[in-house]
Amino acid sequence: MLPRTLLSSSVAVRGAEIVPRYLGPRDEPWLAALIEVFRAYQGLRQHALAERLREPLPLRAPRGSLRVARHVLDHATRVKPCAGGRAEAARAAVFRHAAREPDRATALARAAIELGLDPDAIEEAMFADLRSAARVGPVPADLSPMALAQRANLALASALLHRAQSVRVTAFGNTRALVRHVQLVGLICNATAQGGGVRLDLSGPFALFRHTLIYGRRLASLVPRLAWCDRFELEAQVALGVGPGRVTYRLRSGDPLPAGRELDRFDSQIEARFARDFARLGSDWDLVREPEPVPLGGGRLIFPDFALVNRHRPERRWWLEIVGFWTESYLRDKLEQLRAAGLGQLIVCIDERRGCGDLGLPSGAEVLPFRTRIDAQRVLERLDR
Amino acid sequence: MRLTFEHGTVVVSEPPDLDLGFAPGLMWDPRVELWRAPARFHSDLVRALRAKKLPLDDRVRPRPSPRMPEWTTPELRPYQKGALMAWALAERRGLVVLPTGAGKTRVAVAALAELRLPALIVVPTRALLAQWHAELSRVCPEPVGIWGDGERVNGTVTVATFESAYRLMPELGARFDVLVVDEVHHFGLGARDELMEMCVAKHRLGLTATPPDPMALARLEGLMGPVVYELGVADLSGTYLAEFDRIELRLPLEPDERLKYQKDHQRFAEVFRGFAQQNPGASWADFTSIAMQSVEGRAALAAWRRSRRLLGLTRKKLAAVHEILERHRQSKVLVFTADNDAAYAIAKRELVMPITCEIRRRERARVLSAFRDGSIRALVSSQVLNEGLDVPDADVAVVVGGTRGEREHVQRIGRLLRPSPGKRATVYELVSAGTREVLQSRQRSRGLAAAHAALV
Repeated sequence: MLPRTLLSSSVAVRGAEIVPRYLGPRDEPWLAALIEVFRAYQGLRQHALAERLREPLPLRAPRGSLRVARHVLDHATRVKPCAGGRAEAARAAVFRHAAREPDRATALARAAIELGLDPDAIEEAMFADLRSAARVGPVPADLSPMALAQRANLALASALLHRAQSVRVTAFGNTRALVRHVQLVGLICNATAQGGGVRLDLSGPFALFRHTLIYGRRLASLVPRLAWCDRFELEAQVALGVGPGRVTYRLRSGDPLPAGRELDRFDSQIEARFARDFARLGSDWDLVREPEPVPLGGGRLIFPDFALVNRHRPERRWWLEIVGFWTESYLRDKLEQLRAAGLGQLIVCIDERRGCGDLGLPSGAEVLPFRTRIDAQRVLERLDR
Repeated sequence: MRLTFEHGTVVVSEPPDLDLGFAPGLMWDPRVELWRAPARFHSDLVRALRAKKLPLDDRVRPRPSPRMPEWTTPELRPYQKGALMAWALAERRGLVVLPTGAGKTRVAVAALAELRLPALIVVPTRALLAQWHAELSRVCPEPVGIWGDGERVNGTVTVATFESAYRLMPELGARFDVLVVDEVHHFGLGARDELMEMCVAKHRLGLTATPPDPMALARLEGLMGPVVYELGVADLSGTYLAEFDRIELRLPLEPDERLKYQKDHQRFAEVFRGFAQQNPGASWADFTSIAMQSVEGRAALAAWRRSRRLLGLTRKKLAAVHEILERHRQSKVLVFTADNDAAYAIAKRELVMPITCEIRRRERARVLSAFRDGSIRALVSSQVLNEGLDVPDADVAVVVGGTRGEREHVQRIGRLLRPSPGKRATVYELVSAGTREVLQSRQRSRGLAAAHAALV
């Protein structure tokens, strides 16, 4: 995550709008030069690289953008300092001898003898595991200047969302995975149909009372996932911490961010395993992944996990929903909501390990508890009952 | 009407057909069309709704928690008993202010032993996490939970770092009846106060040696309760705390250091003076926010940081540290620096063990144990030793530099004040003459009842 000082030097505020300084093709020459500097310092101490970067690059680079790109490269090339055990042993020996011996040289010599090292080597070893001793790692092979620009832009967008109070996303195509992600991270999400797409109004429960950064990480986690949708527009109300109140940040498809990861077919291993187990049973039922969103009334939509459709009698249709964290009241409200949407034939699978708060189960519901794997046979028995 | 816990808030579902705006903390949430309150209002909310004789199904804390088996109750000194009584009389909500070394932890453990209810204790650092966990495990009859430093084990009594508690409170804030916040002065400014707002605990105890400024204190009063008991170093010095001498060493800068300092200080002071004239009463945070928006402002801040780094460890200070360590070869010495770089510089040159955030828990525990038994005679640290960490019997402190003013100073000196027979501690403060450190030293020493100050 970009620190606040980097964020404020990478955006401008015009009126009530944030204008981010995204990196683009015009920046690629100096980004290439920056990557070359990192490559040249691979294996050397990080402070040596820091010293070099105090000097200008061969090509002129905007100061704020350079700092952001450098931050991203620092993370991409970070190598954990090694030799932890050896350094700890060296410290233990040196400081113990330092308490007894009259001078520094004698203490170091005694410790070196104890550990079978050269006195110079022991000085080197003493702090070899600290951050200041860390070395520059290799630049990832696929990190071209363009990829670095996009990663820097992603970091900037995520940092802005990290400071957002509320977010509105209007998305078209492949929206289900995004909705599912929002629900998994526990944000309040009102989904309404909007001109062939879906409008999602997102905020954290506590955001009702005051501005809070507690949901920042969750809101920021939306950014890489937005690219899953065919088209999107995001509008966030952001507290930048300078100037008055909140300002609006907009992000759209086509902005220079990295392309989203290819969608996993299943949101979780649990779902993937259930789909595989169910197919192996060879029943008369087809498992439909990501059925169409179902209108709830008032323009709202819900997104069931699976539909189960009888191959011979397609009017026989069940819905299956997998629930993460839950309480009895949450399940009851969820069931009422789904029934109100006309999804009466409903099986809710709940993870027994993730129940919290009131731990009863609502009566009269087709609730199937599971621990590590959903029992496909039991699901089938309920369908055929 | 049903009350449920949802992500650090209490939600009212199936409400009666009336406006619930009278109930403490409740607000109408149009996003889900329900009434919602921050979790900290839970007990007040239940009381208010019951007073109106409204039918209530409380799913947040449906029934009183069963009491744990008897704890091993710690022995308390008279003033610790007084603190506990004051807290109990204040309906078990409030802050206890006691100097470092006076045994705040023991007051909290006694309070927990008396209540025997599910409790969460939050602490600022991983070092304190381990220390509290060990302390509670000695007296609590059940395994003590731990959140932080790579562990997540729930217990009826759980210790957590601020960071982990902040992250987990939306999920687990309904589990506890008691919330203890160690070093509570870190809160009250808005940032991370959610930790206290998202917890339903009715009983709240905040511990500190240095209460925050009046504005933060007023906010903390709402979150944790008022200051219910307060003693300073002077109240306990000579009886329950060791006496000490404060020796300030004014050290000149070398000519090249002086030049650099003056250049950077001037660059900073020009911008800051202009800002202060235009914004009387503005805070340092206001200044940094505004300064970040202009080239001159950023340059001024960079100059200020450079000069701070320079003053943190000048060549004369390094020589003075060497001299003091030589002079106190038979004593246990703590060296406090402004930053980790200075701590490592001293560690390398003087062969003094550094205690920083980079030194892991196991090694830190081993080092503190070696310091206790005398096989290591000195430690150097910038932040980690500032707060709470139990370092008995150190008798000399060298304050090479600091960044956090009076509060940090009182906390640091407190490391020396654990009493032992005949003990008289010595505090050396290294101050660069003719720099802003002179004023800072004067300001930060206000909180201490110094036995005498000597200028060398």
